[in-house]
Amino acid sequence: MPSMFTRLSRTGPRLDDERGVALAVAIFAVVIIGMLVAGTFYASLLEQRTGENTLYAQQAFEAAESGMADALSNWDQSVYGAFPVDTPQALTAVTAGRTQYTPIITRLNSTLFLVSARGEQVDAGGRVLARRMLGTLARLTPTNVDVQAAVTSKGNVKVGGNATVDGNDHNPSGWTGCDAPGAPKAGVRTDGTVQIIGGGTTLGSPPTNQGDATVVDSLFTNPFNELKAMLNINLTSESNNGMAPSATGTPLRCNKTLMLNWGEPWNPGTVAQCHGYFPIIYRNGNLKVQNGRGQGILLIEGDFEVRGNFEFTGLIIATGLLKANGTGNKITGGVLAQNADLDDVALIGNPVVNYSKCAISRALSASAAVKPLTDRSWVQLYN
Amino acid sequence: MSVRQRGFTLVELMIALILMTLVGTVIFKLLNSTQRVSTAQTERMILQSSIRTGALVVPSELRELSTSVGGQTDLVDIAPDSITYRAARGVGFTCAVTATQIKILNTTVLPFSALRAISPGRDSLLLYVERDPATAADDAWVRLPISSLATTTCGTEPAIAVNMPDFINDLPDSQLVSVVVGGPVRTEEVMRLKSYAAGGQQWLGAASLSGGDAVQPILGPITPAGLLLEYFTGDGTVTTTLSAVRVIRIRVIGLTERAVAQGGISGANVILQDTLVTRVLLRNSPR
Repeated sequence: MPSMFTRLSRTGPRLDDERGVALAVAIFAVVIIGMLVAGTFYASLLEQRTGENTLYAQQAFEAAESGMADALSNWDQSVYGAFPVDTPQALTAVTAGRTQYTPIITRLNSTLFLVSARGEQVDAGGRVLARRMLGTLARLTPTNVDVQAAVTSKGNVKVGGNATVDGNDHNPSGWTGCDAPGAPKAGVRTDGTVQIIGGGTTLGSPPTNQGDATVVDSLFTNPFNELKAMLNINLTSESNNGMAPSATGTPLRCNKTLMLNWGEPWNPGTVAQCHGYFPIIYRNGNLKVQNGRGQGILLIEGDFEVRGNFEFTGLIIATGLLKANGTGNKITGGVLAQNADLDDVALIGNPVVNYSKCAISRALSASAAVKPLTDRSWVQLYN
Repeated sequence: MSVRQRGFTLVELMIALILMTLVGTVIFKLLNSTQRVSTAQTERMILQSSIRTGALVVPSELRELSTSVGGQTDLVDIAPDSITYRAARGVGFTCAVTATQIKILNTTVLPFSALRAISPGRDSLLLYVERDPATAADDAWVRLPISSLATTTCGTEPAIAVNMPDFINDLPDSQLVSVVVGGPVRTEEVMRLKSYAAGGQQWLGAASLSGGDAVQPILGPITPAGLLLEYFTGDGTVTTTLSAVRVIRIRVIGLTERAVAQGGISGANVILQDTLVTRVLLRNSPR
C-alpha cells in the first residue's frame, strides 16, 4: 500500500522537474538592462568629466588673464628692465582657492616685453587639472619730454655767483651703458631774457636761447601731469634734508619705502642696490632741499629751492621758480621751470647744471609706463 | 496496473503559453524602453558635446583677431552664416632681420610658440615694425608672404629662418632700421567658418582658404539656420563694417543625428535640438 510519504514525494517539488525558462529569461533581461544602464552611466560619467574639464579650462584661462593684468598693473621697471634679454623670469605665483597664476616677464629688448601668465586650476591635492598660457606684447612708452637745454624756463633767468649752466651733453660720472655724448643743447632756453651776473657761466650750443616762442606752458604741464600720475614718493614736508640711498633685507635690496631714499646716482657709490631705482618724487607745494643726493624725476607743484650740497641726476620739472643758492649743488640731466608766477629764475652760489641725455633717458625709461601694443598685443601661447 | 501518462494537458500548455507571452511582452517592453532611453541619453550627450566643442573651438579661433582701422584688419568677410578671417597660428621673436630673411628665436626657454609648425604658402608672417622707439603711435604690423623655411641659429641659439621676397618697400618708411631685433612676429592663415550641407544634413565646418583645403566639419548636425553670427561694435551696436567689429555673438543650434525617444516610454521619437550662444570679445581690437 502506498504510504503517505510516497504520495507527498510525488506531488512535492523535485529539482529535476523544474524545466521552466522564466529564471533564465529574467536573468538574461537583467543582464541586458544592466549593461544598457552601465553603458549609459559610463557615457554620462564621461560627459560629466568632459564638462568639468571644460569648466576647469575656462577657469585656468581666466586665471591666466588675471595674471597678465596683475603683472602689468604692478610693473616695476627698475627690476624688470634689468632682466636678461630673451630669458623668461617667473614672478611669485598667486593662489586663490583652487585657481592660481604665475606671471612671467620676458624682456625682448630695451623697450619690448612679453608679459605672459600661466593659469592653472588644481584639485584639493594640488594636482593640475587644467593649464592655460596667455601673453601680452607690451612696450615701454616713456613720457615725451622736450628737453632742449640744461635749464628751460618761462620768463627771465638770472645766472649769477659762480653758477654754471652747461648745455653740452654730459654722461653722469661713473655710469656705464650710456651712449657717447650727443649734440650739445642750449645752456638756458627761455621765452624771456637771460641775465649773466658776476661769475655766472652758460655753456652749450647756443649758451643761451632767449626769446624762444616755442617755450609754452604745455611743454611743462603735459609731461608734469603725465608723470605725476605715476609718482612713487609724495613728499609731505616743504624742507627736506639728508636724502640718501638705503638698502635693507637679506639679501640686500634697495629700500623703496623710505621717503628720503631717492636712489643712488653715484657709481660705484655706497648703495649699489639703488642704482636702478629712479623714483618719481612729487611735492604738492614749494620744495626746499639741501644736503643729499638722488636720481629720478622730481616734480614740484610750486617753487623749487636748492639750498646747498644737493646732488640730483635726472629730470626736474617745477611749475614755479627755480632758485639755487649755497654751495655744492649739482644737477645732471635737465631742469624745466614753468615759472608760473613769472618771477626771475635765479641761479646763484656755485650750482652746476649739466645737461645729460643719458640721465634724462634713464630716468624716463625707469619710470616709463608699460602698455600693451596698440595692436595685436594679446597672444595665445602653446608652451 | 495502469501506466501513468507523462506530459501536459492542453489546458496546461495554454496557460503556460499565455504566461510566457505575458512575461515575454513585459520583458520586451522593459528592454525596449531601456534601450530607447539609453539611446536618447547617448544622443543628447553627443549633441551637448558637439555644441560644447563649438563653444570651445569657435571662440578660440576668433578671440585673437584684430580689427584695427589701419587696413590690417583680420576680418576678411563677415556674414550671418559664415566668417572669413586671418587666424593667428603662432608667435615668436626676431633675432636677426635682413631684407629677405627673418630669423625667429626658437630656444628652449623662448621657443616659437605655435598651434602648429609654419607652413610656407599657407601661412603669412606679420612683422612688428617699431619705427620711433620713443612713441607707440607709429608702431605697425606688416604682412609678408613666406617663401620657405630653414633651421638656423642666431649666434649659438637655435632659430627658424623664414625666407621671403625683399620686403623693404613694404615697410612704412622703407627702412630696415625701423624693424627692431627682438620684436614679435606672428603667423596667420586665412580661414573660413561656415554652415554647409553634406550627407543630407547641415554642419558647421572650417576650411583653410590660404591652404586650399576642403571644408572639414567641426560640429553638427545643426539646423538649416543653425549657425548665426552677429557682429557688434564696442558699444553693442550691430555692424557690418569689418574694422568696427569688437564682439562676435555666435549662436549654434545642434541636432541629434537620429530621432530619439522623448517624453517617457510611450513618447514619439523626435530629432532633438539644443542651442548654445556665446560672445567673443576680440582681444586685439583697439579699445
